[in-house]
Amino acid sequence: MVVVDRDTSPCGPRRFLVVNPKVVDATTGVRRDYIKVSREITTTLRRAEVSTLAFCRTRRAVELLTRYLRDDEAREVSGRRAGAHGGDGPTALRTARTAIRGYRGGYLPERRREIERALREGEARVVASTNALELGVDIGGMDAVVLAGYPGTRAATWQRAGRAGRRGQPSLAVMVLSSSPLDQFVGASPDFLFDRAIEQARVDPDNPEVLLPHIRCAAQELPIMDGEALPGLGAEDTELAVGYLAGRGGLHYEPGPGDTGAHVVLGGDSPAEQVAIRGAMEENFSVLDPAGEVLAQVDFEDGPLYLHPGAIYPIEGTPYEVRELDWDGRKASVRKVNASYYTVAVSKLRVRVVDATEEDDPEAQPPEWGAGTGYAHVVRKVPAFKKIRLGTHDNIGFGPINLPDLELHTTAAYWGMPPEILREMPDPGRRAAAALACAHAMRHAAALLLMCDVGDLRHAVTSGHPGAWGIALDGGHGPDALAEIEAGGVPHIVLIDRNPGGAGLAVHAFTMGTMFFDRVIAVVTGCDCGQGCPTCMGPSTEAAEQYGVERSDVVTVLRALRRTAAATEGEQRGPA
Amino acid sequence: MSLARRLAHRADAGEPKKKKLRKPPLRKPPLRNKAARTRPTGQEGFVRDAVDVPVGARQRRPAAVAKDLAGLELPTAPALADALADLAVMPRAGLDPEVPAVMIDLETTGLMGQSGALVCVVGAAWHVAPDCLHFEQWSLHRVGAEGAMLADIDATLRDRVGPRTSFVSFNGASFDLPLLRRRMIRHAIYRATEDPLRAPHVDLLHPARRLWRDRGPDCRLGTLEARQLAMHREGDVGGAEVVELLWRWLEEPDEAAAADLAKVQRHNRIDVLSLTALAHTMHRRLADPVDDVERLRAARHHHRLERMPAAVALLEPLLARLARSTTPGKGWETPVGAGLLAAEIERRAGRHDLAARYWAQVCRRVPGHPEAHEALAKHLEHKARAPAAALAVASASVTPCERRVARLRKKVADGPVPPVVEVVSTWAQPRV
Repeated sequence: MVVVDRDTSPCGPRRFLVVNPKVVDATTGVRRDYIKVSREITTTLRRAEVSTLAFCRTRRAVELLTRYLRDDEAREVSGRRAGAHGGDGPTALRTARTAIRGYRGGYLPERRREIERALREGEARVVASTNALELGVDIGGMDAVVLAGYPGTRAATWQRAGRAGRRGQPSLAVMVLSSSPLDQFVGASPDFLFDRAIEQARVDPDNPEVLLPHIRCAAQELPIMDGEALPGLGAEDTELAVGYLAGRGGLHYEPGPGDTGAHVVLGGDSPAEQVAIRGAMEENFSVLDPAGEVLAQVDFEDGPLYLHPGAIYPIEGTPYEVRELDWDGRKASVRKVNASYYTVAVSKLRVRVVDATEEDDPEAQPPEWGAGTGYAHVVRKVPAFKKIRLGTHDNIGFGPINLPDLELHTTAAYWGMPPEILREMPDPGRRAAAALACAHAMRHAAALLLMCDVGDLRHAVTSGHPGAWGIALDGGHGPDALAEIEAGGVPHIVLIDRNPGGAGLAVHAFTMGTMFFDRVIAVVTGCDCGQGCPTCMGPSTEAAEQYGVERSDVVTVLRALRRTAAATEGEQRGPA
Repeated sequence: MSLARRLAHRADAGEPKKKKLRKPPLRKPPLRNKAARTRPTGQEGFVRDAVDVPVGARQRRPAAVAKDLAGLELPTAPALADALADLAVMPRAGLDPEVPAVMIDLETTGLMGQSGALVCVVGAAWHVAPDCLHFEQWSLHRVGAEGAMLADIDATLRDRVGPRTSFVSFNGASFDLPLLRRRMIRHAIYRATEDPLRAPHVDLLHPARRLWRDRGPDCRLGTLEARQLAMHREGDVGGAEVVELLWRWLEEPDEAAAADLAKVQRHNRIDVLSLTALAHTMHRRLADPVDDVERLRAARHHHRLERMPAAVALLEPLLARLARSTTPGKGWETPVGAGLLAAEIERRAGRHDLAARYWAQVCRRVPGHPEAHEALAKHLEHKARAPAAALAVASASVTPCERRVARLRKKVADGPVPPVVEVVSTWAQPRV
């Protein structure tokens, strides 16, 4: 066996630029939209005939960028031609469609293979992509990579940047930062990106979503005998998990000689094939054109967000409107339209902590005020969608959505606002705004400390006690969140894992205690904006706008939370 | 947080799907009676059956197998050893007459050999006397007993296999034996670093393919029995059906399933015993092919096993025909194949002139034959040092090698180039 612990992939000299868009509003600290900046940089590279991959963080960003880049090229080409032979719009558009491509998960395999071919043969000069082009696709000959936003981990950053210069030629990587705290942190500390080792993968092997399918696989390999202890699990938990599966038909009990027996898997289906690497699986939605041809696939949980009636579902920048969604049949009927807007579904995550650290009492009441870890019940509603104009990103309309809610259980950590804060900040609105800003900062600091993607965690603020329903904040949210928090008066900050069943991230952040809060406070106080900005205190929310959350309030709350954590740590250590 | 709490709060949506009901039984099962569902076996969870089958005298075969094997000629121990030595490369010292070969075949609950495949029915046979075959069969009655069954199989076979005996199987090199070994290691009967039941192995699929490829719809054991051994299985079960029946038996061992298991057991018994007859027949056909195509293929088999004299001996009638046919014509495939094979054998033995004669004969029979023209041109250029003749032969190929032709043209310069027909007919004659 040989350990390969060094990068041996072919690579020429690489120049790495980090672009931080300029601040457009000094008081709010809002920076230029990083998608627009990425568009300009990529178009400049395209004009210079530099073959470029533009990596985006979301599928929507890929579609937007593809559309914008094609528009830019088409405008220029038809402009050039207009000078010589008179305008030729359709040809220009065709040229742009060949040279500029979009690539993401959800496209049909044939389309993806076709784009990969166009890339290899040099027909496509610019490709906007999600992480779908990051791994496992053979592409060489690219000269530049544009990263629209920090990819979330150093591993992904280097992997994506390494897509250019594979033939040993000099290459360029440009990372355009967004206003998110993580991006801004990376921008402020170059050593974070360049001088540190890449992240470790983290998985919680005791997560039932991970554990149970693996136990089925193990039982198929060899029967699990009565009293057997699976390695790393212990006899008691083995019995528990095996019994759970047997009760649901996942395993079959087979009596043997005497009183012994074994749990086995019957039937020829392979349980290994049913283990989804990236989480629990429901059947995907198919996107069908009027002729009944499948155009794309959409993951089950993304269906309500992207395929509600009235949604614009773009494929390589070409807009399709969803006419009808057959929920049970998992089919969306779409038709090509000429839309000057795209749609964004408004999703509301409601979170409730349903279990505290009291482990042994199944009848346990929802936890009272305080801090701890537990289980969270998350319900996602998608009540409406917004229409956003292309180019300007103005909101130009709303529409309702009537689709089933999505529910999941995951692990959570929560921190109640200590009583002294209630005395110090008697105005519930001010408290609520400070809690929202704290939650935002804590989530981003946790992602940094745990070396996970910011998207792997979510933050929420509940009111009154952790067992009450609260709104999870994932970017945008409405004023009703504030109303609930105000009514409750005692906000609780909740961090939850995004994965069903949890990956142990939020709990891990909780167990870091004072160290965790030291980092959060450093992030908030270290920002060089005036009174707090989207980077250190979260996106401009209704709460913040209405009540004018101040950095000093946020720091006060964080310090109080840190004191509570320090007291708990002191108790655990016992008297010195 | 304890596992109990996490399980208690697991979202319903993520629950393991209830195991899908398997396909309905192949035929309507009789009414289930409670008593029949109790497992018919003892504590071990598997049963072991044995039967002795005399070879030669068909009337003395036991009733259990007589009908199934009707029309099948089973070889004696020495005849089988001869056949195996002919079919595969054997240990230098040959097979030990005291330790006869072991025929083996597995029926499993998965065809792809993936992790879910359990070893369910195992049949093995060996000679206990020169004229008597002993057949042993293990059948699993409980999934949890696979380890015990494999341990018993291992104990039985361990002493029977060694460096001077052989396993005989059909496709066992890639399926049965690796699976058997993998499961034995999985059940900790052996350590992962060990290599259980190691012995020479004659996988009859390979010589059968060499001999009979394209000469029937496929090269499956049942097809070969029907076409080459003139034996027809009545009411046999197919491979995919075996998987289905075995799962049914393990899931719900009632009377109907027991009848299904019996079918699989019979299928396995016929498979194992007919292996001996198949080896015997292949051996005879290698020595005495039924037609020219089979003769050429038999020669190729010997060539592959590095038995050149045997290959050349088989080729002789075909080579004589090639030498006689001085003009191009139809029906050339077999003699031409023989010529090319013989040329290859002679070239490797260093008899280059003889090889060149065969190539020339092929060129004469099939003008432009790429392989023969290429080989003959190479010989003329480098061994015979006759660039002009080489140029004539190289250029006349249907796919001439540009570089060779250019090089030869330079060597020949403006010298005369003989007609290719002349070169070929000269070299096709025995040299004086």
